[in-house]
Amino acid sequence: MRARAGLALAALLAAAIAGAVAAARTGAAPPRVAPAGPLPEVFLSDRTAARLGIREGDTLELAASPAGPWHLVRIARVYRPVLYPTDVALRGLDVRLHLPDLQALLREGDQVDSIVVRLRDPARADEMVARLNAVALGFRAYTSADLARRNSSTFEVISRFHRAISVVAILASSVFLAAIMTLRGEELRRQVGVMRLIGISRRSVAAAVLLIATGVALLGSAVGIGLGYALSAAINVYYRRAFDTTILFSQVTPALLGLVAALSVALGIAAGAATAWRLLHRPPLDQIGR
Amino acid sequence: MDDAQAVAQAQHAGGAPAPDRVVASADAVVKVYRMPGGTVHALRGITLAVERGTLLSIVGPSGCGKSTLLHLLGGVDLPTAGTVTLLGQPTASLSDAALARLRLRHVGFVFQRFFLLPMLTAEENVALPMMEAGVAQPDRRRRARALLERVGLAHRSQHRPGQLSGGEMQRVAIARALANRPALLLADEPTGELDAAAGWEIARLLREISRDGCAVVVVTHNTELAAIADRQVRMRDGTIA
Ligand SMILES: Nc1ncnc2c1ncn2[C@@H]1O[C@H](COP(=O)(O)OP(=O)(O)OP(=O)(O)O)[C@@H](O)[C@H]1O
Ligand SMILES: [Mg+2]
Repeated sequence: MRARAGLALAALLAAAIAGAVAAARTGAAPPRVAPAGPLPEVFLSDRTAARLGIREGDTLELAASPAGPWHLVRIARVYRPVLYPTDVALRGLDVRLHLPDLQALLREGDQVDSIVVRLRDPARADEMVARLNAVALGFRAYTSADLARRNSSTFEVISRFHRAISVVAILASSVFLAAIMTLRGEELRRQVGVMRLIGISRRSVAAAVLLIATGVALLGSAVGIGLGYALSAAINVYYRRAFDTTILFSQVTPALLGLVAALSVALGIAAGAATAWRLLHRPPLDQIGR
Repeated sequence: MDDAQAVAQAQHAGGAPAPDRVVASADAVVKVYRMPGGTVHALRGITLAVERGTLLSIVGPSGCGKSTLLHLLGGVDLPTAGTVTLLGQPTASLSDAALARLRLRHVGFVFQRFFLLPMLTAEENVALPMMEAGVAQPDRRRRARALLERVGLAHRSQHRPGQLSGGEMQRVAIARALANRPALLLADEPTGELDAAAGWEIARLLREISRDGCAVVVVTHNTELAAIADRQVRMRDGTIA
């Protein structure tokens, strides 16, 4: 069966499972389990390797608790893990073992809480989950997308928070826009007054004011989008360096762009309509400032 | 308007207008501004006729009501009492929209401070009233260029007002005022912001425009401009002196 093959080949257990924390040995030696045959091989994350100052090919002693017993293992590979955003700020040591080695280390033969299965074809995850859940009793399979959804209420809150921030930012900038229009209003008022004096109809004047407002709004959102991209890139550079990861911290999505552009154009038109209404309800002679 | 009235007006204004040449007229026009701080009598009974093909200058001390009279003649504002007739129609009888249409097609305005639209080029400024009047694009383009050429600015047609001198801006404003071939051109201190040479250029243009058949009314403190007018009206304290 494919699932079993997957397990045997590539299933490496996240060492975050209780107890399987690597401990670099110091001090007097508690009981040691001497291996009969080649040393078990483990993977070390690059961060852990850097903190312990060891490299591929070095050996390491692991224990489930400080009291031991200690197991000698060989570092087969130092790799760069794909971190979940939740793990980014964690500074623990981590090591990945083959399942039998982990069981030997924990001395808990069948007591594995969870295993991660990497599929050759991730597109078939749902199908695989359904098949696993249909054949096996005593455990439940989830796709990683399901798990992320189940565990991501925090992210949901944060992302709502972010959306709220952007809406507030957009509203603030529209107020700013409206203020600019009012400040420029002196100039605009005179222009409206002149247009009406020379006989341009109210409708044409209103259309011109709306056009100007929409243009200003579009220009504003273009500038805002540019700023958003620049800020987003800066945030990513900063936090990727700070946490030494490749995770994308900030992303300007097309949906967000659409929202921003639509909101600012709608607000621009609303501001323009209000301005036009205000300007068209005063005598033109008062507007040219005699 | 009957002949007797026209004659009476002519006597007031010091000329002899033929009724069929009258473009705009004021008959016993009074304009009162009521404000919280008190009432201002800007015009106290003005009777005047403006004719095709003449340059009429209005002079008088500041605050005597010159601009007010100009605005009433152009249908921008309405009299408190008396009648202003513009192209045969009493302005008070027309709706706001009808007055706007009348101004668009038959009245040109020139202001002391030019009042061009800064976002538009000279050519676009001139074309704007034609666009509103529904002139087709190639025609209005051709005419805008011809008008700019007439005021000596053919080479500046693609420049925006900010790139032009005061005299040039005023010439663009005159070209704009002429866009829809108005019967009446009203200019309120058109040389007020210009030096003598540029002012003289504007005076010469207005003179020409009136010779071409337009009725031109110019409010001015510029004695040279006032002097080349066909008729000069002196105002004092809301009346014709
Ligand atoms: N909208 C208004 N509200 C109140 N008073 C006004 C208004 N417009 C003009 N006036 C008053 O009417 C009088 C005539 O004003 P007008 O502008 O016609 O004078 P003017 O002869 O053009 O003066 P100037 O040479 O300074 O331009 C002035 O006393 C002015 O204060
Ligand atoms: Mg005035």
